[in-house]
Amino acid sequence: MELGETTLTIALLLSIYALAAHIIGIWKKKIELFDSARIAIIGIAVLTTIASIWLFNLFITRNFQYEYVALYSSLDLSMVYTISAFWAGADGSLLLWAWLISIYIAVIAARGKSYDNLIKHAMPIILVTLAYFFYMLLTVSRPFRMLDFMPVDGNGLNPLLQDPGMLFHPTTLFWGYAGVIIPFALMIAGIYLSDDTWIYRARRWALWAWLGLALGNMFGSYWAYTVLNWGGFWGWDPVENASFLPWLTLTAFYHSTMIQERKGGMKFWNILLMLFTWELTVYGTLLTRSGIIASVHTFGESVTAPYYINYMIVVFAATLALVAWKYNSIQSKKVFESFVSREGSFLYNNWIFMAATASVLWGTTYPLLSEAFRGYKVMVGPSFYNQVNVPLGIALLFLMAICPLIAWRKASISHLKRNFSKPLATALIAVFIAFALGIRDFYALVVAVAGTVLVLSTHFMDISRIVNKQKKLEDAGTLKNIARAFMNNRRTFGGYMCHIAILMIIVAAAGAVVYEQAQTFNMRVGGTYSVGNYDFKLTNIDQYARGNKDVQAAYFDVYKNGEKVLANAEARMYHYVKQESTNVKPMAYTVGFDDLYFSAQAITADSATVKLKVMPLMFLMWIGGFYVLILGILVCISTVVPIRQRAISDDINVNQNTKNIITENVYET
Amino acid sequence: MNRKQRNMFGIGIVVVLILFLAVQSFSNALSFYYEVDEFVQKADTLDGKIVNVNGTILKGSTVWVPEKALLTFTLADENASITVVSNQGMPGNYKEGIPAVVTGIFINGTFQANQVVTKCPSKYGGDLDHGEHNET
Repeated sequence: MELGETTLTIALLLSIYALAAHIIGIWKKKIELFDSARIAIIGIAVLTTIASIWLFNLFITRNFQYEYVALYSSLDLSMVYTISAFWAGADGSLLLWAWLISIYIAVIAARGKSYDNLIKHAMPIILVTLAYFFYMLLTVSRPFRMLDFMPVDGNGLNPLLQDPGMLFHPTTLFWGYAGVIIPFALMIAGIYLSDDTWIYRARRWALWAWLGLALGNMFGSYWAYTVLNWGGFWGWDPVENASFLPWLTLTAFYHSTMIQERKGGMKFWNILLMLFTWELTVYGTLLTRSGIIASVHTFGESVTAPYYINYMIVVFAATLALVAWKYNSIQSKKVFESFVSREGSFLYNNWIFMAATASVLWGTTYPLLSEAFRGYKVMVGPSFYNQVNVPLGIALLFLMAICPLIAWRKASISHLKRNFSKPLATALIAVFIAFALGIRDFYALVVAVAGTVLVLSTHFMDISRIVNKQKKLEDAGTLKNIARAFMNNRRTFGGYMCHIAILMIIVAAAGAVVYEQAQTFNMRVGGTYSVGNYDFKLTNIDQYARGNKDVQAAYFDVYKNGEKVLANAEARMYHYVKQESTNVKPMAYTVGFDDLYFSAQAITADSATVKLKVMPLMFLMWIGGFYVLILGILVCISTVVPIRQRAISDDINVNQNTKNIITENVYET
Repeated sequence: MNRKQRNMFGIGIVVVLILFLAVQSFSNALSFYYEVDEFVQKADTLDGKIVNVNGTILKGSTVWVPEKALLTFTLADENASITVVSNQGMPGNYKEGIPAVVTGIFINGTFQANQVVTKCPSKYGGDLDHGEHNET
């Protein structure tokens, strides 16, 4: 038998064994069974790793007798994309997903001391899912399927996937997708055991998954910007939406868990959010990997779609049945005393995220429903998503500005005055200055200027309050005070860094959309063409071969106020010989605060048709979305390490609720 | 009305308003999606509305004028065909014989496309080159 399928078969058997061992172990209270089950779980990870390395090896050795290898790679494909062709198709993606899940649970199983009752009850959920994935990999979605002939060459990888984005976008997304199942399983175990501590246990894994999803979306966005020539960073394509949806619900979940941790409220709501997140994760895979999005008519042809749908239905029904059965134990405490309070701001946050989820889900799913039930197909344009989500984004921005300073329980008028008069005054002054400098646009004034200043000033005020508290306790000099305050309040600081990252993304998006200037020119070599403050001079046109493609390039020198700011900028078109297809390669260059974006439409020996764009502030999106966001999440995740001076920590559930601290430290996985 | 009712009433109005705007923008963003033969039957009734048409790019039909970035090709299915004109340059992954979705309006017998989307990136694959066919 073939190596890949053999290892997957053994992995399937091991996961069934581990599942049975857990169920019998819980039922008959046989502790020794869990030890063998944990070894089996580590074995699953080893076997899935062998299968994955084997698939990499098949690609590297270009073994086209394997159908999957032949479909997604070819002799002329460069090695790095040959390796990343692993996840170019549905079958390899499923293997990647299963591989990551198996590694995650092996990490949990290897750390024996935290393998407590909650984990014991959560693990069967993950094992069932994993066994189901292995079953699919062996029957309907087979990356190791062999052909009865040896193709001369493979079909090659889609030229659009031949980009560094291909290395990072699918992998980070599946890192998130795989991570989501762990908080979901902990939740199911928590409901079953009536154990509320699942929420603390789930937190770190939820953050880990959130980071993966956030990076996946950012890489996808960067890819769209630099490769796909969709003309921007986000096109509301169903495939993009599919990865955005679980991110939205998981973000809402992460906020509302704070209400449960601190106040014991929103329990049922958190369960729903976690359920939605996992369902939308599977739904995203269904949309992007089963071909269903092109047309529901392909549904009949798609072998895997029914498997994903059945799984989603079973998960949904089983969770709701469990919730109904245990409903008495998930009664929340009443937490909302006033609409103007910290609790209220969390609630609004959740409403905004749910509204965004609902609109994106509806827009993505409606074409499928329309075709299935009304018999005709429709498409939903980006204008719908923008018109709904831009106002939601602005509302979110202002909520973000309020949340650090608004009081818990009920904010009195005097409290509001005390906390918000300074930030509001600063924001007003900033708006006046901006207006005086000539900024007239509503979005720029309200979002970029007022919103930014408000968010920054309220966050700064809260941070200085925390630092002052530290100073009162033990004054060790300003720098040390800040460092200590940071160390003792990492969750708060990390969260605020994420807020700043989101602010940067919103401002960049607003700047790019409102102030984008674009024009298409029919150019001749030697001619100069102006967009905004920039003059673009077409200096040369060249053609050269590079790897498996021919490149046509138009070269530009760019001037601003007569001064050369960029030399030899390129607009490119790629012609892929094997696929006989021509692709535009958009090029973006950052000059000062602006991105100059070149997207060639045609290049001949002495002329070129090029769309030139000037997009301000785009660099903020990438700095915020990659560096600040990652750093913020890592700071949050680092609360793994026990916080030393708990007494003065402002982190939710540390300072306020000692009981929670204890449960957290005992039960963190 | 007590305070709580007043608050709920206010929130209710906001929700209804948002829903109304969402429904409005949704119906504006909706565009029909036809196969080529369906489109040909309905072309006269569309009245300049933006629609999407799905078909296959007919082999040998492409006329590409790089100086003007003007692309003309025939989009066809088994029963019908239309002429598509696009001045948006070469669409990504453009190739004859593959499926494409064009978005635009129908004027004077030609389809003026402002967007041409070829077969989806994540669904590559396709038929394999069998060894025995290699010599042909």
